[in-house]
Amino acid sequence: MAETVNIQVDHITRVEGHGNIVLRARDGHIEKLEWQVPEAPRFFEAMVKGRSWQDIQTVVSRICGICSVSHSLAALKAVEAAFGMEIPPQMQRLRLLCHYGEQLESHSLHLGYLVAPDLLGQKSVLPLIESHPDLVRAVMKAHSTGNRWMEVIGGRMTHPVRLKVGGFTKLPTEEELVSLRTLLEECLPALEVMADALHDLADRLPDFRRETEYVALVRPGEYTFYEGHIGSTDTEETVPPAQFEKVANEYVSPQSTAKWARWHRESYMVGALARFNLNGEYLLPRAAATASKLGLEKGNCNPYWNNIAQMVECVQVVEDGIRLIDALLEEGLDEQSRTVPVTPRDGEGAAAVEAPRGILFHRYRFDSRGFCIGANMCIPTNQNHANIQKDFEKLVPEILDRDQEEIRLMLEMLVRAYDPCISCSTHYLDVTFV
Amino acid sequence: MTPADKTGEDTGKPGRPVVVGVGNLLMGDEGVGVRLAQLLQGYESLPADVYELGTGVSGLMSILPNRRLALILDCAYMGEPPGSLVWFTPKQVRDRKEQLRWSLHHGSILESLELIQRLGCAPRRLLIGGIQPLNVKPGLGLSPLLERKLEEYARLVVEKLASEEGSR
Repeated sequence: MAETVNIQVDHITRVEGHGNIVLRARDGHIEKLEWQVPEAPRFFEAMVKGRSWQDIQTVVSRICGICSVSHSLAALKAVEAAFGMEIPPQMQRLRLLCHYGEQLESHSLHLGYLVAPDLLGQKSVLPLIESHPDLVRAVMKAHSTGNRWMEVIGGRMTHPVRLKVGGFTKLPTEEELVSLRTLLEECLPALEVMADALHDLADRLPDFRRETEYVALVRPGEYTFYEGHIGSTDTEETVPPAQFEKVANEYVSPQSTAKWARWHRESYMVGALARFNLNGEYLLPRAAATASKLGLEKGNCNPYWNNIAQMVECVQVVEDGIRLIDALLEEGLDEQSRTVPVTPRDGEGAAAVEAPRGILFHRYRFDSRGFCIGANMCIPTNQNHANIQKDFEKLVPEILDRDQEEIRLMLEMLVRAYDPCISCSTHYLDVTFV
Repeated sequence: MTPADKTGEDTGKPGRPVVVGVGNLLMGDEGVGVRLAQLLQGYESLPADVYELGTGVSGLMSILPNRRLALILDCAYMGEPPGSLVWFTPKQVRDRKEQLRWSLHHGSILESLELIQRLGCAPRRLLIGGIQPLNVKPGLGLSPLLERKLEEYARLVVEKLASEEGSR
C-alpha cells in the first residue's frame, strides 16, 4: 500500500471541457478528494434574453455540437408551452425521429472514441485502427448513420434548421425516409460488432457499486426520450417538466464553477443508466436482447455501466427509428399538419427532453410581443457533478491500496463514464507552425 | 446525388471538393468559419460542396473521406495579426491543445483528420484556412474587423479552390 497518494489530473482528457481530479492521501487517510470544474461559465441564458421567440431555437442549438437537437427540442417544447400550442402527433413523431439520430451519433462516438481506448489500454482511438479495425469501422458506420439521420429529418447533421416552433419548416420526402430506413437496417450489424466488443471487454469495467438515485423522463409503457414526467428510482412520485426546479434544486459548490443538483439524496445521476433503471422493461426486443447479452439488469448501480446502457440505447433508437419510419410511411406524411400557427403571448413555459447524457430542462418567459424576458437551462452534466463527487468518496477508500496510476485511471474512467459535457462551446484551433 | 456519391465512398473515385466551416456562433470570432461557410453557401456556381458544421466537428468524419480536395475554415490562434487568413496543412502545425484530445464536443480537428488518414480514406489534398481572431468570448457576432473582412475571405476561398483544382 502506498504511504502517500497524490493525484492531480488537470483537464482530464477525453471529456468535453475542463474538469480536474484531485486526490491527496497519507497513510490510508484521505486529505483531499475533489471533482473540480474550473470552467468559466458561459451564461447562454443571457444570450437569448431580449430576443424574439423565433430566434430561441437557432441560438440554443449552437450551444453544443453534440446535443444541438436536444437543446433545440427542449427550447421548442418550452416556447410552445409558453404560447399554449399543441403540436400534431405526426410532427412529434418526426421530432422524436430526429432526436434518435442524435442519440446514436453521440453514444457511438462516446463508446468508440472515449471509452474503448480505456478498455483496450490505449490513450486514444488511433492505435485501435491497427489493433481493432472492425470495431473502429463499426463505430464510424454508426456515427455516420446518426449524422445522416439528423440531416434527413433536421435538414443538417448538426444545429438543425427544419425544427421550428409550431412544427417543421420542411418535411423529409417519403423517398428520403425509405433511404433512411435502409441506412438504419444496414447499421444494425455495426451495432452488433460494437456490442460484441463491449461484451468481451465488460469485465474490465471496475466492479463498483453505490446505491444511487436515478432520474429520467418516465412515461407508462415507453422507453421515453422525448415526452413524459420526471421520475426517480427513489419514489413513485413524478414531477411535470414545468416544475423541474423542484427536482434539480441547483446549488453552488465551492469546488465548482458549475452548479450542482440534488433531489431526494445528496446527489442523483442522469443519463443512459438512469433511463434504463427507470424504463428498462419497455425496451424493444432487439435492444432488450442486447441488454440481456451484456448482463445489464434494472437496479444496476455501477456508474461505469452507463457505457453499457449507452450501447443498449444505440440499438433501441435504431430499432424504434425503423418502427417510426414504417408508421410514417404507412400513414403518409401530412403536409397540412407540418406547422401550426404561432400566436405569441405573455407567458412562461418549461420543458424536458432526454439529451444523450441525461435529462435536459429549459424554461423561458416572454412578454406580450413574444420577446424573451427570462431563461433558465439546466443541463445534464451539471446534474451529474455532485454524483461524480459522491462516487469518488465511495470508490477511493475501496481502492486506496492500489497503485497510484491504477487509482488515477479508475477515477478518470469514472468521470468519462458519465460522458460529461462541461463547456459546450468553443473548439478553436491553437497551433504552432513546425 | 447521395452523400456517398459525393465522398466517393462507393465509387472508389475521389469525390467532389468540399469546403467546411466550423466554429461557434455564440463565442464571437470563434464563429468566423461558420459565417464564412454560410456566405459561401450562397455562391451557386462554387465548384464544391459547402458544409457549415458549427461545433459538430466530429461530422468531419462523415464528410471528408475520399474527397479530392477539402478546405476547412476555422478560427485559429496562430500568432498572426488579427484578421489574417493563413492556409496550412495539418502536417505543418502542432496542436497546442493536446490536453483536449478526443473531446468530442470541442472536437479535435487535427485528430479527426489523423483518424481519417489512418483509415486510408483521407482527402487527396486538405488545407485548413485559419483565421486569427480578435475576440473570442461569449456573445453573438464577429468583431467588426472580421465582419468587414468576410467578403475578402470568401474571395480567397474561391481563389484557393480554383488554384488547387487547376494544379491537379
